[in-house]
Amino acid sequence: MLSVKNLTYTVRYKTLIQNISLEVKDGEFVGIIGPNGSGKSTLLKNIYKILKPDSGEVFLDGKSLLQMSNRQMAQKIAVVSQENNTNFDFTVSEVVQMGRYPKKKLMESANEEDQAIVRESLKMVDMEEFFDRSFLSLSGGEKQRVLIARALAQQTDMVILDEPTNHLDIGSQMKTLQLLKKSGKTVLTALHDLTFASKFCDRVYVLYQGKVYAHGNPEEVIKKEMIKKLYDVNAELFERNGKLYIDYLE
Amino acid sequence: MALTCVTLLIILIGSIVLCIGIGPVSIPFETVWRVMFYKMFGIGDISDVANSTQNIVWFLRAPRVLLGVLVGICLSISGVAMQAFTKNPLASPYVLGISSGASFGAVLAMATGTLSFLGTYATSIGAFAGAMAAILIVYFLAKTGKEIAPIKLVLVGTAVSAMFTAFSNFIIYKAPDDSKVREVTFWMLGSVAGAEWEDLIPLAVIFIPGTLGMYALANSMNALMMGESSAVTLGINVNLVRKLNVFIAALMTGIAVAVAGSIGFVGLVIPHIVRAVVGADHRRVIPLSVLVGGIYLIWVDVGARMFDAPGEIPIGIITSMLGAPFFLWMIRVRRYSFGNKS
Repeated sequence: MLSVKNLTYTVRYKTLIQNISLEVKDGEFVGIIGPNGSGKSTLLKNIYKILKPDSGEVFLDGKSLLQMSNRQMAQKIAVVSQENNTNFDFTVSEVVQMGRYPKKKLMESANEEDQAIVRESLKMVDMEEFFDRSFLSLSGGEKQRVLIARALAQQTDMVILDEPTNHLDIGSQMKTLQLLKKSGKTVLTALHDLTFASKFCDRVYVLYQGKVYAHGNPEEVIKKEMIKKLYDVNAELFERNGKLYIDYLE
Repeated sequence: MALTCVTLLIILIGSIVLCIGIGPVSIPFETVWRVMFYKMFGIGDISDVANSTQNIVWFLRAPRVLLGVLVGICLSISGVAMQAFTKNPLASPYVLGISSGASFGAVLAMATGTLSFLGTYATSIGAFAGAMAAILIVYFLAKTGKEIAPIKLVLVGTAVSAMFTAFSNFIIYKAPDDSKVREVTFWMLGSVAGAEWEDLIPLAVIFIPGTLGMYALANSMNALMMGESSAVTLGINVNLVRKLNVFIAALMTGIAVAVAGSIGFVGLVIPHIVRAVVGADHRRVIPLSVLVGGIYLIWVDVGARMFDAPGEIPIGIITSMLGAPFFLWMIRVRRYSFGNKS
């Protein structure tokens, strides 16, 4: 279980996230939604140790994540961040192989088991035929799927993703989210698309101006009024077979 | 990979023996081989080889060729370290002013004698300190917030390089005529000429731990090449890896410059060629850069000796004549943009 307590992060006197608390129980699929600049990425970066919060705590199974080494964290949580460019020409399999690093000792190289895990992970994102391709030559969507495969190769119980469906077409968005859902892993993900959020998330947290605006089941939280206030868009919501559908109006 | 390494190792050893044979007095391959074996391991019998030939092989050429190998290795590995540190394939000790910093440190140590209590290693330690100072200056001036913009890095490197070169020149021109520092071309252009066995000691001591240290960081550097977030979330202690990169680069460049002056572009060209063939994985890039770097520099030195024989051209002139156009080609044709690759 991941629990975030009263997290605040300030940069140059500007508070980007303020007093945020959230919880992700084992096996849960939790989404973070909110408009651009609402603090979704900042919150996630504070959780996965890229940024250091000014105050607050993050616990993973009762242990302080802030006190953990990067390696200890990487053995428990896999992360797909928005970072996907490099100047260096790695192959797809080499990139996915990096997901095995947290379990490797100094100077230890990849064994057959690692190779098998790499292949399996690529297969899960439908990229197995890209095994020997250059990562740099891939499209944005393909790169994203390779990075998701890298996270799967880490074989952690929990995955944190920062808008994993960016750059993906609708089919790949669907597949990616279904894959994560089916994996049974504990998932915390920032999402743009409200329809997808309601379709896949057990619970969502809505961020607005660096604070938690609302949280709960998607049906409870995603409302006409919220969409109007946060995105300044009029919307019509309707339900069919217990699923939420959103129509954006002019 | 193992096969490639063995092949290159055989080429390296063959090149060493061949290059010892090449010179104003040409010595057959087989004689070189026998003399080297006898002198190193006491195996065989070389009583039929003239004393003068023995001396040429053992005292004149062997240290020079081996110095070339070690300098080639150290500069190539420093290049790999700087490229990992900056996440940019255009970085190298020479381009970023680290070689100039090392030259300055060495020249200063010799001219002022401030480090003379350190004995024969005063120059090496001065060069290491200069290299370290140059890296830190470049790093902190090029840093904007948490990011290092590559364009800024190269510009700052150029300026810092010019500054340290000017300081060195100043000391050299102010130095008394009989001072050892007066060997201007040596520091500015680099040379492995006149090497003696004892010159090899500091390099021989440094290059194995330096290379092994870098090899131990191979996974970490791979992850770092994908970006800082990736590295952190893959469990890498980014700060530690960066510090070790800087330390190893400063040490290996510093010692190489202290012994052989400022030899440019080796750390840029070698890792790039290696990556073009075997990809970016440091588990392959590091051992292959060691072998290719060694082979490259001894053959360039043969060029330096033979091009204008019996005169000599400083080796640094040739490495720059080859390396600088290569650098331009990397920017132009390979489109290593300063920043995002389009």
